Amino acid sequence: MNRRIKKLISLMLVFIVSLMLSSCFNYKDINKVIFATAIVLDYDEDNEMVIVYDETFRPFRGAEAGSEKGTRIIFRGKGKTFFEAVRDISISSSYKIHYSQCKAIIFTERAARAKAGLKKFTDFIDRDQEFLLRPHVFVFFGDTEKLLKVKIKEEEYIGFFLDSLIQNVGASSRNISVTINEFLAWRLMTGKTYVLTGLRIKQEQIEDKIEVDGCAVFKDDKMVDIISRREIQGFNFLMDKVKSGTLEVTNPDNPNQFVTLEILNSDTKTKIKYEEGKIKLIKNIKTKVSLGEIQKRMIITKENLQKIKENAEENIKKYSGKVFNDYKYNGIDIFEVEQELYRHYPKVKLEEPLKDTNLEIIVDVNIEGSSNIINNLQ
Amino acid sequence: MNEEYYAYIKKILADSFDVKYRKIKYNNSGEVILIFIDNMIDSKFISEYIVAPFIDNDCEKIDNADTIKTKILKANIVGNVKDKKDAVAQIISGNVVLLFSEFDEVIYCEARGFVKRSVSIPGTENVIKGPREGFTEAFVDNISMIRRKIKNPDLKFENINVGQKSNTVVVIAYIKGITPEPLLNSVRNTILKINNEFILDTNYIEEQLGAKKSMFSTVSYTEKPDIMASKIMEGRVGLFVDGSPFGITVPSFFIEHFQAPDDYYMNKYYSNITRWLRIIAFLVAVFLPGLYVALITYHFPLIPSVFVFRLAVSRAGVPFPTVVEIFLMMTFFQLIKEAGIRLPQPIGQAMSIVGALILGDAAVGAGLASQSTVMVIALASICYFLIPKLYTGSAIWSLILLLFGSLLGLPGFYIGFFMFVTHIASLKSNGYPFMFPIGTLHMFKYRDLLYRKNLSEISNNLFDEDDAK
Repeated sequence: MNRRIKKLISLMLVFIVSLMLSSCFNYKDINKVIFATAIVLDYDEDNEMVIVYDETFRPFRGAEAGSEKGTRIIFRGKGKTFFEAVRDISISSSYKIHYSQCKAIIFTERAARAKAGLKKFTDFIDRDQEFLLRPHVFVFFGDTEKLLKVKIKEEEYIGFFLDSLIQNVGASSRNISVTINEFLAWRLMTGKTYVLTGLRIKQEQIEDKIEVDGCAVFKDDKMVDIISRREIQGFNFLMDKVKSGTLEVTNPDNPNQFVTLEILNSDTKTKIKYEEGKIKLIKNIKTKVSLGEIQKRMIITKENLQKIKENAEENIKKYSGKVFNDYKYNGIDIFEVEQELYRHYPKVKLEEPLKDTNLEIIVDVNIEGSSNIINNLQ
Repeated sequence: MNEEYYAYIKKILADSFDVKYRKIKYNNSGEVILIFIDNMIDSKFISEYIVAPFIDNDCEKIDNADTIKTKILKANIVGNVKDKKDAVAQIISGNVVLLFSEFDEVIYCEARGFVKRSVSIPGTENVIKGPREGFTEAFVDNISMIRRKIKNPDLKFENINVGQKSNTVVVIAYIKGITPEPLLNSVRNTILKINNEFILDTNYIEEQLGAKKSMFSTVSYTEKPDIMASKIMEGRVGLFVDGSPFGITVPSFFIEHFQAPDDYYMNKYYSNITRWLRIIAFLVAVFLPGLYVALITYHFPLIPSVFVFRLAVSRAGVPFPTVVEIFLMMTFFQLIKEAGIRLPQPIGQAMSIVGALILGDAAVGAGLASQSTVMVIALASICYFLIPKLYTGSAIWSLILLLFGSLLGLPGFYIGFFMFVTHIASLKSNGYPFMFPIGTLHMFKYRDLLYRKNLSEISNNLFDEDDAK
């Protein structure tokens, strides 16, 4: 074959392979796009039509030199499907709305509790290539319009605020963070039970504030319960989601006062045993803490440290056990028992595995010195 | 009088006012005609050492050329002219041809003395530390500078006259025993095959020796004798062209373009940092515009959100597509650069101020470009100056990558990148792989690559006889 033809074919192959490696894309000037920073998903009052609110950023320039700025615009679209609602927004926007910079997907409580639940939204989020896997998913408890009208001084855009908020508190023991990736995976796992971060407008503040508050529990994409802020820590310990946070225990020297332990890291290993129709779920929790605060005074002795350790272990056991038993009683498997059972015993088929599950929690709290990585308190 | 020669020279060199014919009588009966070109000779030298001995001679009988050569002429270099053509060649080379009335032999004396530039600091290769002398347009001076640095009897200088009409002297410099014979023969043959009518600069030779269809030069050039000497000592072939203050060396490797003269005269660690900086500068200069346009026109998700919004705001008032904006800014830069080179130095300063304003604030204020684009183009342009020897190739390839990036986004950029790498990896410099050590399994003793080692480890001969493929 002619050398030139060979070269041409090689070049064409490189072209074709390169195109196959990429996803759909198109030339778009960055200033000719409106970027969505957050999406709020709701149903209408009849729970039939999908309502989409887009919080967006639009680059804008006035007639004067140096007048370039970004403007926050809220769009509302309605349609039988999520996609139709998005297209409905497009007919009232000057440029195409781009979702690649979307930082938060917020479902309203009404959408979460609706008969169809989140089912009407998930496919478009999964299928459309503009939705990345990074954004976080929330459920908002309250009035949607109030949420979109909230003026947060820290950040102009709710999407960015929530992103920073999750970065800040996401790893704490009293909160959970869920990305689209996790959400889409969990909803299809055995048990089809998952939790999403709750949002609320903070009432006690002088200015309007949005705060994360508990989490919403979903079964088959429908919200069935709310885990309160207090209960979340127990849930997080059981599900190995604690990376930082605090534990409060009584001061051994002053029983009316508290000692705060700062969680440095925590690791939960899960084991599951199935014998004669009974399931034994073993959670082995190892937590490393340091003394964060001592109310009044406490003499740091081996005995006192031992007491704190025992108290902390007891607390973790108590709160984790309580959350487990509550949900066991309600028959909502947020602890992935069914999934774990399927992983270890794929042939075992039980109607409601959670009801036949007994939880065994083994906790080991290790108190580290607060001033040195070497354990100087013992 | 050798009338035949006289008539021939008169005819060939007719209509040239600078050709002088000086008639001298000696020993009462004899007559000699000195033919030379004014300004090509040293007038004082001719008067003292050629004319005076004839006029003052009253005892020696002059009846043959040998007597003149051995007893009369006080000139250093004297020889016999072979034929009429040679006589003309001697005259136009700056020698004096002597025609005698009493015998037929024609002789020439070397009496060159033309105006030439003295040795000065090279303009294109400044150094912080190290030798500062640079080549001049006179190749003989250049050769002497090399001789001073390599005091080795094996250092050879071969001269070949190239150019059918210009008869320019091209000098091949090498060290016998170190430079591989095949390399030397290939260079020599290439030069002998050159059939240009005239040769004015080293580039006439570079085009023949280097890769034909490439924006990158596979021939190195230098203005500094120390660099030329070091390359010759490594086993390369050096070339000088009469009239050019640049010497060229072959073979040349891509990695060599990142080496600066003072890499070897300064602290090893500092030299390595600056060498890496030059490599980074090259990558930025070639790839940044293409990558930038691909990212901001196709792949927003790959840019951090805060930066996306900044970019969007900064481009808010720009009416053109991003590609046009970048091409526009690159054209501005090229205009300023060209103007800066061509303008006389005093105006150059004013030019830079205007340039800085156009590239800076005015373009943004006028809504022709966004701040980020100005920043990207300015950065890429500054980076070009760190790698002056790769400038031509980098400038053109950055445009190609920009085009691919704007047509197909990142996949287009990757295609351009593959083409770029395959292109330079396919180049050969006189049989040696240009991209060495990348893209070839061939190994040389060449160790001065990404990291400048101790001078004792890298100052060696590079090639074996059979290295070239």
